[in-house]
Amino acid sequence: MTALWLGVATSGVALAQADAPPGGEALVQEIEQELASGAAALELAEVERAESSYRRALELAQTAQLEPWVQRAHAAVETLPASAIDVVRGRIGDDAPPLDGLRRAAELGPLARDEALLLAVAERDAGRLAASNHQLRSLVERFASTTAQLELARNAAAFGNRKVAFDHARRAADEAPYSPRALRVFVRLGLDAGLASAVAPSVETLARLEPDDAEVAFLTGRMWTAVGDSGEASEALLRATTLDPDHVPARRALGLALADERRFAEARAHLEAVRSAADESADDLELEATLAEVELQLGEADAATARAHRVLEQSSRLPRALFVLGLAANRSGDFDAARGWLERAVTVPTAPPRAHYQLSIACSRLGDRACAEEHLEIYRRMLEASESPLRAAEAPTLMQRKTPARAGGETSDETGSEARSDG
Amino acid sequence: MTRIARVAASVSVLVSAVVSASEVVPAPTSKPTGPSAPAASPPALALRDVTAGSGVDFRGPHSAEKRFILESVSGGVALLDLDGDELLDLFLVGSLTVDTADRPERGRSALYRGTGDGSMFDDVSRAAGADLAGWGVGVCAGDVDGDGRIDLYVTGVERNWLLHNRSGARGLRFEEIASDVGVAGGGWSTGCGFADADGDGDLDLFVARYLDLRLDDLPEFGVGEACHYRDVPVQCGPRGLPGRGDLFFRNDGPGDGVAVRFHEMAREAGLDDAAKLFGLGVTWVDVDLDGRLDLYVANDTGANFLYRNRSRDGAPRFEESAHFDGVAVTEDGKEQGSMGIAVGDYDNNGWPSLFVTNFSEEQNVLYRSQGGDYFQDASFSSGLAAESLPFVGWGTAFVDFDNDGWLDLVVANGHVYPQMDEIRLEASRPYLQRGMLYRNLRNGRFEQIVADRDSDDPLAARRASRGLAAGDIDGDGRVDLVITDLDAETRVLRNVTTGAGHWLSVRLLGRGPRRDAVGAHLTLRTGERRQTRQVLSGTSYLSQHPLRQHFGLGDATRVDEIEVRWPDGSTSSHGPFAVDRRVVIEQPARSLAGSGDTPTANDTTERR
Repeated sequence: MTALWLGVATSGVALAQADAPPGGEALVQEIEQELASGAAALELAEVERAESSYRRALELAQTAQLEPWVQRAHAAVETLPASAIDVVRGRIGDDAPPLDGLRRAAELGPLARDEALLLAVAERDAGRLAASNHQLRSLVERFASTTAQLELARNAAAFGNRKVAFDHARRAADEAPYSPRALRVFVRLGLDAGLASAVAPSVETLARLEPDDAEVAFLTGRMWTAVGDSGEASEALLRATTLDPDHVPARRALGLALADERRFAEARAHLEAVRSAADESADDLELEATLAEVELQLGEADAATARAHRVLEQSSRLPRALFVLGLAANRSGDFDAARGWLERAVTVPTAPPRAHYQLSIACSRLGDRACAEEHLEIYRRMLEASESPLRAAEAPTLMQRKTPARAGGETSDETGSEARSDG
Repeated sequence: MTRIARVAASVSVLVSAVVSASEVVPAPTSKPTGPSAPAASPPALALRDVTAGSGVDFRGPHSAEKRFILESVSGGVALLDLDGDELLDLFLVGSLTVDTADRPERGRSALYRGTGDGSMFDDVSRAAGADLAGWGVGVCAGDVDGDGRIDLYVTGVERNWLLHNRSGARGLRFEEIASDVGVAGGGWSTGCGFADADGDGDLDLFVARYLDLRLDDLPEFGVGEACHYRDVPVQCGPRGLPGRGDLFFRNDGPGDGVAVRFHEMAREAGLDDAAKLFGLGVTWVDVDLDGRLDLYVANDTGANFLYRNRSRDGAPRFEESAHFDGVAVTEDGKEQGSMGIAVGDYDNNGWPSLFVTNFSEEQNVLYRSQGGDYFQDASFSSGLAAESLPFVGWGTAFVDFDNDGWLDLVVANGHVYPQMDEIRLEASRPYLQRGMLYRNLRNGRFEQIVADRDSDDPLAARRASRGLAAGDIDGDGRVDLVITDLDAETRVLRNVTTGAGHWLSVRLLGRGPRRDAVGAHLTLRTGERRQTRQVLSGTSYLSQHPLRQHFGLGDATRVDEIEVRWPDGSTSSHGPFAVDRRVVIEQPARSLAGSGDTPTANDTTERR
């Protein structure tokens, strides 16, 4: 629970109570007496939309050990109002002191919470990241502010420091484990940093808190994609695109997941929809390479190889495009050509195991047993490595499977999803 | 058909085989269904459930929750002529559940004698001594002692059985001799198959094994990582549980007071599966047509095996080469949960291709033979993969359902977890699933024949199917099916395709101890068209198809020639043949071991 919320609550509660139906407190007392139930209190709190009532509901739910209501109440407290910064801006409005005035005040001594947060945002907007971070760290130290932690994470991410950003987001999520806002940032930054396993429990929590949110479904899909379960990924991403048909990153990710799931016809529909939705899609090389693979599997070898060649003209080391050409050559019996494409593919650090597998086949056909065995061994080691993390005992419940992660998924530029950032 | 008539028919067949190397055998109830004129459009493939009235009354093991993986895997079925009367008999493997494991009589196997009339089958299990009691799993067939009668090998959870065929004038009779001859095995065995692996003239035996489990120490349902599927508690395994290596029993010929003796030598032969993968489906097949049967094993949740036969001088030696041959995993390197195997020259290129059924969210895979040296994953390009993704596939067979000369394909489906119904996952169908029937489009592609759920197409019915065997039960020239289902009755599905083409059914009789002709290769020629078959033991999912080979002929009214490469490597040529009938081809005394003048049926007959 953040100290900042106590400060914001003064005005927040006042605003909320202005719209609350009369007699709410009496009703709270009545229900408390009759039911002693966190659930009932929470329902009443939702009528009142007042933080104090939510806090009371949370307390009751915790006392009664009603975990679902604890979570709901926690979430409500954390999300009322939706954005602390918005509240600060809205409350101070035109009366806000000018930036210079805030800076001078800050030099004289610590600012009040609202003013410090406002200054931090203003400093970032002005490009003065160090000054912004200074204010935010002060807020964290003085008030254990979750919002300040998230803003610190945002600052770090803006400058490409994913690890620092993730650390701040993790602290925020630790402080507010049922805050959708904190969890979203934490999950997104974790996925960006390639730490899907670390954020999986938070994804699960987030999905429970906001089951009908397209962005949450998208993050869930990204998490499954990252751990290699394209089946779960496509389920979540399909849900995201159902909830928000215009969620282009989700549709793109869905197309990629369906391709990995070998559902090529469906994958093609989504990928082509993404292409037509964005003018610059021709530069989305991962998408183009996936489309080439889809075409190859749908029996359109000429179109597939032509598209893969076009991709390689722009990025000569894209593994999926190289794999498409290698596979097409292997299929046509041109093992020399296959070997050439696949040898290029496996020099890329993110080359999937299947590239090594197809290369081993090409070498085998060419009679180069040493090459064949070498790449078969690499392929096998990669397969084992891709499965071992999911076999670890600490894998969260959400990730338990009969059939764990399938190797062979391509590394894709999932970070493009940040276009949907909630700021 | 009365018993006397059956015996008479049997004797007639044997006589005809003796006096002639190639002889037409009238189908007992055959009503040839060849077209009067070429069909303008393809015949409508159709099956009808004729279980009621077929004489078959056999239910698969029932446990509502399938709390243990042991309860999800059984289902062997053998459909073949066991008494030499040219009618297909039916053997169904009895199985148990954990709750009934201590009452083996609850899991009795059943033997049904083909009657050749409308009732189709007679239950002769007890009289024939084939009502094995215990936890059975799969079945395969072969003549282990060269007495001309086909024996049955039955795999089980704790031990295996060898039903030695002692049938004669008094009808079907079997004697269980596994322990006496050294093939009782032990541990959870699954698929099996016979082959003359070492080329010494008798049949050896391979047995796949699955998990290393003890009935008194089973992993607890839903507890642990290996016991969840999509977050839902389910039976444990196979991943996360210990696997078991495989068995290879070499046939040492007659022993002390017994017709045959075996000894286990999987390790020496290179067939022991040191990695202890979870073996299920098994088939022997000569993939490179070098005259030696190779071995293909479908492994659940792991790479499949192709053991190339490198035996020399009677010493069995095998080399596992599935990855390099392109049949271990999918073409993008994914290991799948493989179950059943179909073998067939579906594109009539002269080489046997392999089709493998797999777990849900994994595609069934078609490995197209590229001339014996290697295979190409043609799953998606053939149209067989995409629609298979939601299903868990098991028994399967390449069958020319419409007799057009091109092998169609059938797959039996059913999930392993009844809890699937709690999982809202679009990519996986519920526990009970429909089967799939594909028409061969003659261009390398297949088209699924999808029936409405409410139609009377038995493959549209939702079941937890497992074993599948295909053969012409009623002798009408169209190949029928038997499918075993968990929790439900075994089904007899009659092929009622209208407008089917002409056909020819060929039974081979080898010389000497190889009467069953397991391992023989047939090439049938009508004009410029050729079709090939192999006489195989095992295949499908833990099941056995007839050793008699069925050819669809389309509108051809004559078979010009059938070339046979016999298990001993000799070759012979036979023909021409009229169509729409069953024939028996006996291996000529002077069949050739190498190239040169190939004796024909007429040559041989004249010399006789």
